[in-house]
Formats: sequence, structure tokens, C-alpha cells
Amino acid sequence: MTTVLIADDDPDILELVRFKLETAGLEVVATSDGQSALDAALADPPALAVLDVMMPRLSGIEVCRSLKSTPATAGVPVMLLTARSQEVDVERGFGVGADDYLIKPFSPRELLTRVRALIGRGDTA
Amino acid sequence: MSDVLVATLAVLTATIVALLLLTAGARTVRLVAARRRHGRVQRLRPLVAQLAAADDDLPPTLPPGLTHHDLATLEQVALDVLPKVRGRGRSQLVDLLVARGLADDARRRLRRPGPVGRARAVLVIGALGIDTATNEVVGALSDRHPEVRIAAVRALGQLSSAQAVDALVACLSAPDRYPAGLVGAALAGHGTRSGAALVSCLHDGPPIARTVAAQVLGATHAQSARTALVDRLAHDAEPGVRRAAAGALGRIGSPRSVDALVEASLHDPSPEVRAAALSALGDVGDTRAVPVLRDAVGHPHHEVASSAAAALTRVGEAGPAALESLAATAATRPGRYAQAALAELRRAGAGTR
Repeated sequence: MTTVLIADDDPDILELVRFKLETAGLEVVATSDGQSALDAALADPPALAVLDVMMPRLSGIEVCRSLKSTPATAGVPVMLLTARSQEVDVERGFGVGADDYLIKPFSPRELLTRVRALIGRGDTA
Repeated sequence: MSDVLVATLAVLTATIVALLLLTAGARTVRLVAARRRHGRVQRLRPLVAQLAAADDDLPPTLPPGLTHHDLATLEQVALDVLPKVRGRGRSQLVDLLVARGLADDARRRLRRPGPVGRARAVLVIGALGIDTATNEVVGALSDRHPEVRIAAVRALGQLSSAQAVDALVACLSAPDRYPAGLVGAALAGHGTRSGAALVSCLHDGPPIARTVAAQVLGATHAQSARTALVDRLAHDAEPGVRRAAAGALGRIGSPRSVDALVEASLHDPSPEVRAAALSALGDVGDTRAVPVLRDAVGHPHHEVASSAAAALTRVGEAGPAALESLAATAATRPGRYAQAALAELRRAGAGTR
């Protein structure tokens, strides 16, 4: 089963993203801080990482930078989730190799569409 | 020791013990209630996520067996989730909460005496986006309690009617009653819808209103406000307004603003405005600005020189090339600014693919 790593310190968003992806047939590994996300990704590289930008311990930008500079995870697509006021972080995120970003507030349906595009699973239910 | 003294001490001791027991008891009750509420939030959050993530067109329904406490918690969790989602997910939650009577309840509570209840009612109306209640929210702007007025400003940022925009723009003229930054954030939530009213405010409002209007026009990338912002940059009496206008022109990013920004960077009497104009030239990124930016790196004012050097890093390939040539003269003041800007550019690019 395709695994997606999600990291967000907001439990409401974590639950919402988890529900949306799991009902689409994806396996979800959920973490609430950047360091745990990085540890989980390095231990078992996912098919995609969906990262909040502002998180405790390590920001989504720093996690993305680490994933892209580690050979085992360099190919993992990364989507950043960010508030509109942090658009400058999105620019930095693309600078460190992020593949896509979604601005909060977000549409769960749009999130799933983008996730499917990134992991190349157009057949996901 | 007299009997009276002994009796007094006994009464005092008993009173203190009773107060301690009462305090401990009240604390325990609060802790138990908070723990139960946390448990309910954990249990009901997946249900709210399910409602917000649903793709079908059926009206949202709740499972049977939810207690009164469950329903109150569910409503609060749903209100917390509302600002985080948009599209169908958001409308599902709004439909559910309106069907549960939250909008009607909030409108009733607006007339109650307690300011906390009124502020919360205003926030609920804003979160649910009940445009038909705009009049009541505008009325709350005149509330004698500041927390209600502030809640009304936040709520007006979430309502989509033109009346909400006009009321917020009017708030800019009374910064002692409505924090200008908060009003600006609420106006930014309206995007370009607030453009015309803000342009009018750019000319007629007090200095703080003109400053915030310029900032919001920049944040919303209001192309239609470019001419008005150029006019304020050239003619406003307040340096703060001119600085905000320069920043906004940078965020709008039109090459047609280059001449006005160059003019301000060379001739504005305030070094802070000159620095803002130079920074905006970097944001626009037009290579016509490179000679002006290069010369400004030699300006004696620190903010002007450092803004010019930083701006050059953002102007295509010509900007960094100009910095390299300045940095070759490391012993000079411009050379040091150029080196610092190039070092920052390298640091920012260190993690790129």
C-alpha cells in the first residue's frame, strides 16, 4: 500500500488530512512535529511527505531540506502546507526542493487531487 | 489561655481547613471536567474531520446517541476547524452548525448584557459567514466594551458583503478604538474587493489609515491601486505613508512603477523612504534599476546602502554581477555591503537543488 507521511502540529488538520487520505486508500503515517517526521521518513521513506511549515522542533522547510539532501529520501515528493501569510516560506521551500504547496485554509478535495498527482496514483479510489 | 481565645483559634483553624478543602475540591472538579472535555474532543475530532472531508452532496448527519456535552464539544471543534478549510468541507460544517441553531443563537446572544457572550456571538457569526447578520456585527463596532469591538472587526473580515468592507475602512479613521493592524488584516481577508474603498482612504484618511490602506493594497496585489500608490509615494506629507506606498508598489511588482520608485530612491528627504523604494525596486526585479541600486550601495546611510545591496540580489543576473564587481573593492564601504549581500545570497542558495 502507498504510504504518505503527514506532519502538522494542529491536531484538527492532522485528523482531517489523515481521514481524507485513508478513505482514498492510502496508508498514512501521522506526526505532530518536524523531528518525528524526519525520523519516520528516514526510517521508512514514504511515497510522499505532506509537511506543515511552522512546526515544533524542526520546521517543514528544514525537514524538506534534510529529505532532499539525503540520498535515500531525495526522490520523495514533498508538499508544503502553509498559511497565506507564510508565502515567503513557500519560496524558501521551493528553494530547498519542495515539489508543491497548498495554502491554508485548504480544500480537502484539492489536497487529495494534488496528492494523487504527486504520487502518480490516478487510480486511487 | 482563656476559653474565648481557644474557641477563636478553633474557629479560625476550622475555617482555614474548610477553605483549603473547598479550594482543593474546586480544583479537582475543574481538572476532572477539563479531562472529560479533552476526552470528548479526542473522540469527536474524527467525526468532524469526516464531515469536513466528505465529498457527497448529502446533508451532514450526526450519529445517534450523542449527549448534550458531546454536541456542545462537537460544535466547538467544528468552529475551530472552520477557518482551516474551504470549499465543500467548509460548507458541510457551516450547514451542520446552522442546522444546529448556532447562527440564530449567536444573534440572540448579541443582545445579552455580558460582553464575553456578545464577543463570542460576534465571532461565531463571522466564523459561519452569516452575511445577513452584517448589520448586527457593524452595530457591535459601537459596543462600549473593546473585546466586543475587536471581535466585530475580526468577524467583518470574514463576512463577504460590501457593507463589511465599508465598515472596516471607516474603522481605519478611529485607530484609538480599533487597532489599525487588526483592521488591516481583516481588510486583507477581503482581497481585492476592498480595493476601491482603500484607494479612497489613501487620499482622505488620517496618516495611520493611509499607511494601513497602502499596506493592504500591497498585500492583496491590487494592480488597480498602482497609480494612487505612485501618487502617495510622490506627494504624501507623512514618511510612514510614503514608505508603505513604496513597499506596496514592490509587492504589486509592476515594471511601470520603476520610474516612480527610482525618483523616490534618489530624492525623497527621508532615508527610510529611500531604503523602502530601493527594496521595492529589488522586488520588482527590473534590470533598469541596477545602476541606481549600484550607486545607492555607496550611500552614507546604513539602511539605504544595505537595502540597495540586498535589492541587487533579487534583480536577475545583472544585480548579483554588479555586487560582484563592487565586492572586488573589499576595502571600501560599498565593497563590504556588497560582500555581505552576496554572502546572504549564497547562504539562501546553499540548500537549493
